[in-house]
Amino acid sequence: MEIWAISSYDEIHCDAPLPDRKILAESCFQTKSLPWPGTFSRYRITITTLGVDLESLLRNALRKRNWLVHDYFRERAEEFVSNAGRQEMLKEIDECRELFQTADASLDSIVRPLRTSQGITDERIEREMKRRAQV
Amino acid sequence: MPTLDDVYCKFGFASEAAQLLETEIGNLLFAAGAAEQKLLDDPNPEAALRLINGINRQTLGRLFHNAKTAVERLAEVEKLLERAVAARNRLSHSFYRQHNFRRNTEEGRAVMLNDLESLHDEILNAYKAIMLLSGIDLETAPPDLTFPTRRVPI
Repeated sequence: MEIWAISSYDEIHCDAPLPDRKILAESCFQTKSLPWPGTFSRYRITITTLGVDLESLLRNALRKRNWLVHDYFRERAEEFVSNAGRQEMLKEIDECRELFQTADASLDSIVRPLRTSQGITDERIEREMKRRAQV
Repeated sequence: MPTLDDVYCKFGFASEAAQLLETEIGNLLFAAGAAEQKLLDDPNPEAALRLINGINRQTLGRLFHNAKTAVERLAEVEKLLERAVAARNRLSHSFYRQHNFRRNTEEGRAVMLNDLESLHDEILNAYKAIMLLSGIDLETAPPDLTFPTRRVPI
């Protein structure tokens, strides 16, 4: 996204596709025509993508999850019958857990601002969970 | 009263049983495919690899569906297998989400353990039935059974 301040107007030029598709890329906005107070600082356009690192992290987590669910005990049948092997398996499982927790936390850092911007705040979730717990 | 470790431990037992079942259905499909392609009489490593890779890509539900067609004897244990597939899918996809905060109390963990016991039983019953179709009766295993300890390339 590029932003220019031209004359007495603030213009926002967006050259990335916007997710809701209602506003075309390269659209320009004059912020003074937006509701009062109409200052540029009141408006913020953010573009969120998963990013290469998170995508790679999620792919790794998915691969590891599928391996754990479908193949783990078969592939570790030999290790399973010795103490040393089971120690290795425990270490491996701990590494899996760390990977899943890291992926979960990274995904949450993307999802949290999105849901919060739609009014789904932590407080609201907490209230809803308490309400459901009483049902 | 059960700890969280007890729950995780039981989850591991049930997961292992699910993978044993998955492997055994895969074995049945492989045996049926190998017989159909006459791979035992006329070995063809490339065709065998294609067969095993195709089986490995299938989910348990898909394996079961295909095995029903390829292995007539599975009809005898169809109901057991259907329940086992449902149990395994709930275990893998939604067990912790469904029970959620029960994990935080002893009473809740007891409910989770009972549920795991039921899921484990459903899966094990199907596994034993399938093994029986292959001529292996797990209920009457000899008492002096010793487990293999040498590595088997799988």
